[in-house]
Amino acid sequence: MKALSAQSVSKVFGGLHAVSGVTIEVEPGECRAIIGPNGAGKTTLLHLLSGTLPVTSGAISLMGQDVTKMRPFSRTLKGLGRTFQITSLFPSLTIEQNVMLALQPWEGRRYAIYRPATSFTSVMNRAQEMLEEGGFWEKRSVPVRQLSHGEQRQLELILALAGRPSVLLLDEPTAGLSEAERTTMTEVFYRLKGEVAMLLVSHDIDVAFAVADSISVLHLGELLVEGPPLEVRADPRVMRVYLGDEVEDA
Amino acid sequence: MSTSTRVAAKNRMGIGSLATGTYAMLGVLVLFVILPHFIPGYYVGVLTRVIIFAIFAIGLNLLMGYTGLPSLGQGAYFGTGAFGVGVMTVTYNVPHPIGMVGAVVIAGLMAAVYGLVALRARGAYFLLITMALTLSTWAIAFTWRSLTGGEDGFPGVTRPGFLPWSLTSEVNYYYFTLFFLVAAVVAFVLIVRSPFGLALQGIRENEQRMRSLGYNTWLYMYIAFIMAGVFGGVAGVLNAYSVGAISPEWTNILPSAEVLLMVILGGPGTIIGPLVGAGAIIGASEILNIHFPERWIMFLGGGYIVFMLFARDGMVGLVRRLLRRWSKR
Repeated sequence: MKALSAQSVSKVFGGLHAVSGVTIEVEPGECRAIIGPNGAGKTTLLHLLSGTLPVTSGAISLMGQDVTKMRPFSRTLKGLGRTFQITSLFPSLTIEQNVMLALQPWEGRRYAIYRPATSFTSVMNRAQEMLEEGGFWEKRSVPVRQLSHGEQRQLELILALAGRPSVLLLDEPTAGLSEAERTTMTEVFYRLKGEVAMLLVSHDIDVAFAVADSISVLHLGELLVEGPPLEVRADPRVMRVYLGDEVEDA
Repeated sequence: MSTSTRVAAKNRMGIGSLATGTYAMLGVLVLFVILPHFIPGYYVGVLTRVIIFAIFAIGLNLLMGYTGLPSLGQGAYFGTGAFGVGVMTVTYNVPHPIGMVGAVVIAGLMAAVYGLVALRARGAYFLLITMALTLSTWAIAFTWRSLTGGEDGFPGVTRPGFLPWSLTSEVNYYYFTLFFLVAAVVAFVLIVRSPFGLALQGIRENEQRMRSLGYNTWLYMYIAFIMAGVFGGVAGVLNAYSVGAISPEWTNILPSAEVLLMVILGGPGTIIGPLVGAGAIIGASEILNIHFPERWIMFLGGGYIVFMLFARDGMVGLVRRLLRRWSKR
């Protein structure tokens, strides 16, 4: 059974075929990267997988279950976590409240209305565990907007992992990070490999090639090449549409 | 992890700020309880209006301050609650307790229907749709003369007795509304501190992220919308008894704008803000109406502009900022 499978999915905006007939499969625990130049359809594909946009045609399944018609929050509850290209947190809430929000749906507490949120020990204990692990415990009462960009990216990942997803969609996770922060983030992905299936969409081909077990290259909405990093890197078509441009630009 | 660290964690989770909030609330409550004995009878009536509009504003604060949905249409539920209890108890001689509960249920049902329409939009569009809905409600109230009395209004609403007390006395009726205010504040504090309330704040901050965390954000907003309608209905019922007559204007934009301004001016997203805002606006209307009759809406608009430009966090936020600056010296 695949962790995530998209069977010839397409998305048409008016006359524009943003994604056409793309098939992508991610094995449990595998890390797959999607790369491609600007306008290749990476972000649209991610929206289709997460459910933010409906597919024009094709089917998507998660751990063997058809989720094509499911709304984003239902897909999340079926085990699909995600991070966003632009940091997406709850800026005026504290770090701890951010984590509590990520945990509540999994502890069956999300509609509770009669008791303070802080009185649910199962949520609070896991929040403490996750905050200690992530090194945020000491400053858990700080509003998130006061964190550095790197810390916010890190917290973003903690939120996405709170529900122990079986698949994690990562949208440009290293965008805007310093060199050191990028290295830390790459190490985190390395540690997550095997535990959770990851689908990494990235401009940052260095990270993609360093972390991914396999790579899919999109070009003009279609799947151009897929395979292990070394094969993809050596493929002349990829050189031409993607790496070639990069080299010339540099 | 020992229990003591856990307790410390809870303390840091805002129970410290809850304590100051609780003391402030208790102080206000004591003030409200003793005040009628020290002021002229006329001002007891004014304070009753402050209390009624505070209940109204608490409901809107849940929607606007905590969920991030600014509504300019709360008058619909306020007026419907009022007409509900008036028509039932006067026209159909329904016993008062049933009339009161029934009117609040009708206001809640109306919010449940209007919410389906309004929640298709967000931000300014949400505000415009709620405004259009309250205008439609006003048009119905204004033209359905056989039910509401139309422009003549709906007279003859008499107050019920409550256990051994007659509520015809202004002071007794004042305490009757105060009881509802306390209940409203307690309910509100429970809601905003619960997981549900935290989720509302999450939606205010970042709805898309809430969805990706597994929350059915629409349902949360819908429930908050209905709750705000229920608070509006309760305020409308109390106001109908307070005034003794109902005008279709209660369903119009003016009360909707007044309550919106109470939330903005008091401090959206704070517990005590709506109370402060209701007191300030009704106090100001009392003073300004004496010296500048017919100019009230102009002052209301001016106040709105000043607070939007200079103190978006309202009077509570302003005081907090001043205190912080003062304590740094």
